[in-house]
Amino acid sequence: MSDDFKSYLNNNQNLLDVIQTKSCFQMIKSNMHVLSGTQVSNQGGFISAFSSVLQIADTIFSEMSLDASALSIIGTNATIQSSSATDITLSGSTPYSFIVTSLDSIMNIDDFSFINNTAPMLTALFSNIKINLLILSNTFVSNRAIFLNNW
Amino acid sequence: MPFLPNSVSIVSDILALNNFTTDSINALYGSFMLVYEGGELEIHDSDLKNIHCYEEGAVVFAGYQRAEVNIYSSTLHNNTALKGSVFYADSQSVIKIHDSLIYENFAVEAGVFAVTINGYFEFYNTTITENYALSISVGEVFDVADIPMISGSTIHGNIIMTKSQVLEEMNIRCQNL
Repeated sequence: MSDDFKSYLNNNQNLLDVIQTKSCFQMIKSNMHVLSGTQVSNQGGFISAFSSVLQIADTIFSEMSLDASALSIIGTNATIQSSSATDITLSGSTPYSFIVTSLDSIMNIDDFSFINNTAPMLTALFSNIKINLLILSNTFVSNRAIFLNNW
Repeated sequence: MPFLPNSVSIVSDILALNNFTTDSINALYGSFMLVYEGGELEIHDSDLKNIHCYEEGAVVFAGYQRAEVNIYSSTLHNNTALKGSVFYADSQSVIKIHDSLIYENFAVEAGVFAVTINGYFEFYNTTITENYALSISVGEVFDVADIPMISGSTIHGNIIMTKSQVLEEMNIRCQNL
């Protein structure tokens, strides 16, 4: 049986030719809550959200080496409350930010500490961002902390 | 979804398992445990490991409809599937994992679980670490109107693999089948 399975995989390389999502979670047209002292120290990204509703509260992000944005928010309504991120770095020279929003996303950030990171915090494209009570204290490798662009 | 001779099938029924251990189970093209039609499964203090299947959700599938699975104080590790190595849920079925450890599971896509068409999950005080996939190292959530939840949990060191690493891992794990 194992030989059958191995030959199936070897003969069907297209099976592996998927678009790779380098996050722990992918949400599409869905809801999700991340709450109550959850700790994230994953290498790579955390959540990719498409056309979804995402709420993150009381969550601690630490020691992440990003090869994708930690939060990739696309056409999504996202809220981050009472959370923090420390020791976030970029893997290689890829120009990611901790958060990337695009395509008419709405993001409300309330009480967020982004401290002692070398990765930028936010890149917002075609999005509506509201930030209340943000603490920033970082050494950025790139010279941008927050990058907003509305073409 | 075939009902396999080495599966636990729960249809409109309630089953509780305590101190349950698995090892070296080949679930073929289905899941090791199937929960349907309002069935309820509870697992306590168990070690669910080395369960392999060629489709989704090697350990448990909660399907049509409104099935509920609760797993308490257990470890789920070294399980393998093409998608969602530990569980798969759809059709308003829910899988809730409490105070447990999920590690070193492997799938080509969605290293630990996948939920779709209003299936959903809840993780409470659970550690999810060192799971592997080519894409989406932990979980895929697709078309879910209910609210999946992660609360008080730790998500650490889950890894995206390259194609060659996936094939190598498959070769290693297939030796157990």
